[in-house]
Amino acid sequence: MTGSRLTRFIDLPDGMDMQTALANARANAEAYRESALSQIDTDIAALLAAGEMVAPETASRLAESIGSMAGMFGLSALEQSARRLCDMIRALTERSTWDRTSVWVNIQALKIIRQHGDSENLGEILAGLQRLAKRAEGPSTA
Amino acid sequence: MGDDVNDQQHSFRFQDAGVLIVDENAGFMDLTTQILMGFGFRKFERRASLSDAEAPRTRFDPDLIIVDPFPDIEAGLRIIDELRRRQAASALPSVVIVLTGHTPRPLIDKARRAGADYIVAKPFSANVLLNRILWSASTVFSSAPSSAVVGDERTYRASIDGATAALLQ
Repeated sequence: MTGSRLTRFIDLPDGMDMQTALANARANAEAYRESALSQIDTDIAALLAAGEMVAPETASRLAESIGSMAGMFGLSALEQSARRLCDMIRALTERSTWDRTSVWVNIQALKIIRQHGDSENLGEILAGLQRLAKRAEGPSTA
Repeated sequence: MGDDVNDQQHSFRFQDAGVLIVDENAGFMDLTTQILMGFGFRKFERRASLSDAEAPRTRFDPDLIIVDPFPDIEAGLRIIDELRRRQAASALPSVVIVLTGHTPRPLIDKARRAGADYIVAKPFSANVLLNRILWSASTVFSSAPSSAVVGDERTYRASIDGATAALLQ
């Protein structure tokens, strides 16, 4: 084998160059920003509406969506916090030690972080979430 | 990265290439579609459900397949495996890219075994996705059918390790 089905579309005369393709793609993504932020808000609202009794699968799905989308648009604090929530849910599920209070604190923190953005001083909140995540992972085996 | 194709001046005309996107996250599917449209892709088949994508509904024959197997990893990998099995042995293979926010090592290994050419972690940049598409387009190890994979385990493992190392850089 010397190629794939895509090979026949590459390196053709009058093709699009990489710089143009990337510029187009970034412009299209930027045009999608408001829709993305709207989805993030919808997902956070869904987590809050589910409340403390949120199912692990639902919390995981929504947190993953928030983290991925936030990361696409440079919302670093929100991305990290959502990722931490995903990790916490995974750890709690694997250890069969569901801690709804810790999960709920993380969910509420997502709302605060979304409202305040990366520019605000969120150090204390992020440090607190980090401590909760460590606790969910259980005692170190190192 | 050693496989970075940005060093080369590729050009492409993807407007006639068919793309299958499977992603249960509707917003992310829209965003991925927009980015691919920036690269020039125009022909899309979009499936918002992994279970729906498992049952082929049309004769759409994609050149590029982008799958997020989350949240049902097994169903997502079955889609890739089935698509690979349906490809005629004599035909050039489609490019399969797993695009997901969950990239634990076992998933990477499983996805490669199912026939994925590359695993791209969400969030991703347009540059990374374009590079992975172009890299995969000319790197066709995963085109080997499953039986051939078993017969050349050393090459297969090297391929997995290479893709994993690249992903983790």
